[in-house]
Amino acid sequence: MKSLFNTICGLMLATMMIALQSCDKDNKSDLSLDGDTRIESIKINGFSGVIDHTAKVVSVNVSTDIDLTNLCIEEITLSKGATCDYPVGTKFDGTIPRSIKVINGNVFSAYTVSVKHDNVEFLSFMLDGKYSGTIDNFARTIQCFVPMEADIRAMQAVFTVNEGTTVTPESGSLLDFSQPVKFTATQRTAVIEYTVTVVQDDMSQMPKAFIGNSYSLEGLGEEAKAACQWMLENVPNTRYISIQDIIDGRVKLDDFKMIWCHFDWTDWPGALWDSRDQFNSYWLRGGAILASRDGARYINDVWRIARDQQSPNNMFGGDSYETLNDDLGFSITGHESHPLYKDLDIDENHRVLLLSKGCSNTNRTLQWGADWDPYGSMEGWEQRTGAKALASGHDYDFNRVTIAEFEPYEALKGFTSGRVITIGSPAYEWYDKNGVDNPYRKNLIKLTKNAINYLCQ
Amino acid sequence: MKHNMIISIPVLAATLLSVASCSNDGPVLTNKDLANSQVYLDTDEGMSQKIYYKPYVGYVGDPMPFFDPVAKDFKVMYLQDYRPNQALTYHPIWGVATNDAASYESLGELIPCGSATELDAAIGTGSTIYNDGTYYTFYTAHSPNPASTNGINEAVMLATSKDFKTWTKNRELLITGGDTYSNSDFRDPFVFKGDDSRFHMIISTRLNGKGVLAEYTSDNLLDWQSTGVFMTMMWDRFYECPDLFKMGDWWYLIYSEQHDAIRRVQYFKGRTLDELKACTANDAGLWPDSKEGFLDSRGLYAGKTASNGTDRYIWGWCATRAGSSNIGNADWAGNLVAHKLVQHSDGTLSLGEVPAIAKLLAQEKSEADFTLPENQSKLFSRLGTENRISFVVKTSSPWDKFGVSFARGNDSEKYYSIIVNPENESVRKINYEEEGGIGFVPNTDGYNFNTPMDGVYNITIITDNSVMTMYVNETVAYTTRVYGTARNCWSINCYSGNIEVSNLKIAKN
Repeated sequence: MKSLFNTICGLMLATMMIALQSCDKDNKSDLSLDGDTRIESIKINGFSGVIDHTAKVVSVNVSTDIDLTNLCIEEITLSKGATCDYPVGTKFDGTIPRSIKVINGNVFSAYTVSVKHDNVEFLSFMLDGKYSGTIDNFARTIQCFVPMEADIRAMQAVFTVNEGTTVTPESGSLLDFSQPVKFTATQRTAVIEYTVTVVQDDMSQMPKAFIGNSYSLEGLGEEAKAACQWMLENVPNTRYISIQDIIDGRVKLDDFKMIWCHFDWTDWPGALWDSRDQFNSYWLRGGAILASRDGARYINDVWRIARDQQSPNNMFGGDSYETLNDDLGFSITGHESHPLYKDLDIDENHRVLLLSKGCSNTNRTLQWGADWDPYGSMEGWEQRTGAKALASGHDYDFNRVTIAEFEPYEALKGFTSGRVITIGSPAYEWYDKNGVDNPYRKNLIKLTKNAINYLCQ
Repeated sequence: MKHNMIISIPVLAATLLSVASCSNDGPVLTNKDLANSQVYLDTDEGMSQKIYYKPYVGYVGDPMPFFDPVAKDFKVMYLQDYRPNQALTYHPIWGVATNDAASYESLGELIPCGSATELDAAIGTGSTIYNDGTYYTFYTAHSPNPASTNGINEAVMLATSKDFKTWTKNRELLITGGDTYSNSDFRDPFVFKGDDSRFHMIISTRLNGKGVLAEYTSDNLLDWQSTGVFMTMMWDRFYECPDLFKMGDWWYLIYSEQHDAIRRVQYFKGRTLDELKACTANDAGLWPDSKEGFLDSRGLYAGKTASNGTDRYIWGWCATRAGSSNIGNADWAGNLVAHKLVQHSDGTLSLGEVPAIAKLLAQEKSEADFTLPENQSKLFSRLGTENRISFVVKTSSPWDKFGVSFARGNDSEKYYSIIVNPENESVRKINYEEEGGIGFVPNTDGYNFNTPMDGVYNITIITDNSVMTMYVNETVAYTTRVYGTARNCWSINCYSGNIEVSNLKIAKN
């Protein structure tokens, strides 16, 4: 039996060999697959590019006087026999990366070409090895928060910058930061001065992030931008992160002790749904969230924080601005001793005012009616949501909940979930279109600082 | 190796045998005597559709219709939606050609996506204009990673062609929001030649957070100057896919409202461009008609128009539904749906049937007139894959409620109904309901329209597989999708009051 199969196999093999041989004779492949497809050298407006053949990236740094919108390929050398779609003389707008396709016979490869002005960038900045600075490479400023007890007259500054940049004073220097300190960074034609400011503050030094739906702070809506700007300027060790960064894996939420989701859109961006597992996982494993404005909505089946996976059952407003005819706040009857309200001005009605008469307001409200469907009562609401009420509306109503707390518990076996505070009071609004000198703004700031410190514990 | 061969020979033999035995059996379906039965049949969608076009692979996203003055036909570029799309490079521009908005010839891929590191890795809507022997298509470049593209998320780029087949990307033209407009929302360029003989481009973007249509002008289509805001968008609204044209004595802006509560195609009108712009200035809210300018339901999105000098058509996409469920949420992209623009004497617009589609479905069979009392319905025999149904309903009072159901057999526990619902004594709205299931399906209803004084409703329905358009009295258009429509029975229903049905004609393919 075995020998019979051996014979069959042998015959089949022989037939295939013959078939293959005849192919070779009659049908030589027309595919040309043996050429190289490399950019060997390139010169754009007089500046040579640095070529990374593995990453297929060409980086060209040009002097600061070159107009990036009007560039020209002056020289390009390719592998023998290859052609490309950016031959000598090609003009292009280089403010965005371009892709050069190099073709040789039937093979091709694509190189990404980025042209940049000589530029300096701080990548990290740390004082005394533990206080991380907030770097703004557009404004050319660095701000660093340190505790009240730190001796700011002698602190060691350690930093990293982009390749090719030199800085004075150099990294590792011991400096007096009682006044802002100037650093001069140089890369070829770019010479740029950075101002480093140190602020003493009692805020937690834990890593924190402000989450937004735009690539950068500039793209945020007015409300989110106002809150984010305040946080970056006033809260130590804070970063801005876009939801897309989280989806794409460029940033891991687990790196942060707390995150602030102060969203100012009223529709449902798909990005929230696409990132729902990352947020849920962060919270399940102990990540704390301050979810204010429309951030409070996503405690539902998106982030899966509320036990009933529902958004607050009463949400409205946010369409347009009105000017307030009276002061606006929320009442905290029964919750006055909560750490959230430490050192706030509380009036005789147990009310915390945040906005004064004359301020603009969109009346965006995300609140619960604990006595409404499907809860029926405060007890029912607590049971079904797993939350505790911390504040009511401007006028006190036991069953109206505008601020709530979700305490940590073992939502995932072996882990303790993070603490979550939701703020849906219409008074919690950072952007004032009217630019009023609001005497209660210190309450808004203190409340937020308290919330951040509380969530960082 | 030998061991494998020993197994494979019996397997091969068994396979051959099973193939042979299959071919001897008739298809199981023939046993059901479908022609004479009214049982519900689980019908599949075809891979491609012809009237409401869908390519064999993937779906149609944002159409960019253009009348080709050289070939004298309509070219409809569209964003090709593969499912799944590639992660970073998606929505290349494909195209179809048509003479009559009823049948299409595929032109395949016309403008490919850039590489993953380029700004036009993903592509969004644009528009085409012909000038001096060259076709210019301005399109939205959408970066998957703005951090690597100079912080720009969206910008306008250009590709040109001499023959509409081979397109070359222009690398010098790049229009961005710069320091003035948003670099996140900066899309859907629409180019037209103004009465001043200059070229104008309007772009959907934001200025200080507020939605605006920004305007740029050019003499040569290559060098563009920003000329400020063309028109503001009202409140928190955002007008996507703007389309501007003059028809008779009126200027129109047709756009697709992004706000999820009213995500539909809408329009504004004005006798002059200034009058048109005033409709939204300072959130004025000067609606063009009693329907707030709505042209269709959510079943049509990203609608833009083109005219051959005689007729103007609008093309949009009718979304597929998640999980091919008749109550699933709308996906992005679907089938290409065309309507004819109907301009009324007061300048108002509505969408009507494409005449050439009626011609395709001209082999009609008439049914006798009948009346339906309250809570009665009449079930009709099995439809074809493509169908045209027309009939007249006369109601006995403005409160009479009636509709049609599809994907309905005589054994169906659930079926799907399009209901001409009395909202009050003088206003009606088309609703979509899952009868025997969840009832009213949110986000699928039409818009309010005035109840006809005479109680007469001339109704025309065209279906192509699951895509369906319904027209009422030349004033209402309603596009939706009902899976299972093809090759199943359907019904006319009276829910309350008493209706007379006459002139019922059915054509099937």
